[in-house]
Amino acid sequence: MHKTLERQIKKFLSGADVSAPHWQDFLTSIDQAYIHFDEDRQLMNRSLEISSRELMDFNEKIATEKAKGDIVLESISDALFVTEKNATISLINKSGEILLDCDSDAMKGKMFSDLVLSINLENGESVPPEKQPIQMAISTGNKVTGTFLLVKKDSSRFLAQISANPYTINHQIAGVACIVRDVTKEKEIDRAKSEFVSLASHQLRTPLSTIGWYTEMLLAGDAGAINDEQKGYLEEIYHGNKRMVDLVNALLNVSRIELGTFMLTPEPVDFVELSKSVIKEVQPQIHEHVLNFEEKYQPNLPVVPADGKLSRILFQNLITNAIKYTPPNGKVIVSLSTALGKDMGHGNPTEEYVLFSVADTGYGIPKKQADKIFTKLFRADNVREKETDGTGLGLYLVRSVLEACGGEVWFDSEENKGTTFYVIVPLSGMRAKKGEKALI
Amino acid sequence: MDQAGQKEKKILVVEDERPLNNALQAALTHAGFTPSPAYDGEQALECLSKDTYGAVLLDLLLPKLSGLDVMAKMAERKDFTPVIVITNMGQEETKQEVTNMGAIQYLVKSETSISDIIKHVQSLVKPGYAQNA
Repeated sequence: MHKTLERQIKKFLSGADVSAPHWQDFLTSIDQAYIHFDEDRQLMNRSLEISSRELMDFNEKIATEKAKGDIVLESISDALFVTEKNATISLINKSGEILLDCDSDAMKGKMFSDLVLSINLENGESVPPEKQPIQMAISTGNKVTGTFLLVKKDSSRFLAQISANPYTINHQIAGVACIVRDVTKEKEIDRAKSEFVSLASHQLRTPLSTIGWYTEMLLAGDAGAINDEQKGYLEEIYHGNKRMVDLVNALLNVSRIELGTFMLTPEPVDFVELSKSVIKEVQPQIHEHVLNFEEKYQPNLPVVPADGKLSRILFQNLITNAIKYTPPNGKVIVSLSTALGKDMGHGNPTEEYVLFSVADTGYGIPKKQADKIFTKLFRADNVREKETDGTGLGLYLVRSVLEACGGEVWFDSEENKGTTFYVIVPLSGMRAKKGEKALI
Repeated sequence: MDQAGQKEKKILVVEDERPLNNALQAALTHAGFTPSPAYDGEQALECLSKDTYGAVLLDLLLPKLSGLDVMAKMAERKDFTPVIVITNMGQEETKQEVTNMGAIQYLVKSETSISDIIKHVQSLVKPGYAQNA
């Protein structure tokens, strides 16, 4: 490079002494500049090569992801509607087209509420667009779910479970991904199952009445005198039958809870009186289990708007459980007071509740099974053998009832030391619930 | 025993399940009443048109004519014989409906002991008649 430059300079400026030191410096600096330029060029070339390779990789990745996305969208059996921020539909999968009998192109740009009419299942009224899950998800920024009766353009209808989930771009809500599932069949099966249980339970009550009544008459000596041994056997039959009646009632209640047909009618209830009356009913069991039973009631506890029957179910279940699962000479304390949510760490912090608690010195609930205690048909391992008399439905009923009315249930327990169950009901009262059937 | 006393003693037991009907008759007889059985709604109405009773123990799920239909017919005929409904449909709404139709009591069979049913009958018919029978 240096020599070429020398020749060029000599030719251009004839007579110039390129061997002079300032020319040499000049030539060297030019040379250096060329070398740097070349290095830069090579660097740029390399980075261009890398960028183009990356771009190709990236394109391939996008194509792969898109293919995956497409196949996922097409494969899912639930209908998917993706909307823009203004709730207009921009993407629909195949199941969505099939569900609404409508071509994807015909649906794009429209709102979900333009395509189907949504009916509220509780009151049978149509739901305005702004109260439907998609619009609610956009306006609140939260996932919104619900079950509605959807009526298509051809007037056919189906029960749909809708879940609208907002998505964000640069921290701004950009639209909603809405999954719509036709649950008509599932609900029908569920209903059929619960109706079967309900019907079977009603039918079971007739032979149970027969057994109960005849045993009672034999025990009363209506058919002649019986000896002590016969009396003992008959009493076993009578109690076995009573247990079966309780089980059938519990099954009926569970089916009503699961059918959603149970009703909740608040009326003024004096919880202290209710507790006393339930305890009076179970005196024979308290006596039989040789328990030290204590009642602690806050003076002048307010009367609470509550469903009397349901409240009785709550009290009965918790009190009889304490009796059943406490060994002889143990202690049971039933108490009623008022308390603020924040003082208990349960319910709404600022709301005032009636707190009903039942503490026992019983077998306790094993730690590893604590989370299952409110599930249907569950019975803890440590009491299964000690106390066979249990349906596994009581606490499930208690929790279901409280969930429906705005209350709560929880417990503290230590195995072989005892358990305390706590139930809270808002002082303002239980939430009313319309339904066809009362619990028993 | 006067005529009125005889009437009070008679109890119509309308129950299609024979073992239950028999049990009720036995317990009523034991308590000094004179029970008559009916096994369906039509038979119940026939008995009521032919005779007078101190009370009717009435099941709701009956062949031919339901217990509710029997009560409606009784109201039509202005038959005011006291009715105790005995059923296994422990529903608040059914209870409300039969109470509105004039039933004095609504008892769930599997929940009620037979001695309690007899006590309800005894409290309905004028005290003294059955006991003096």
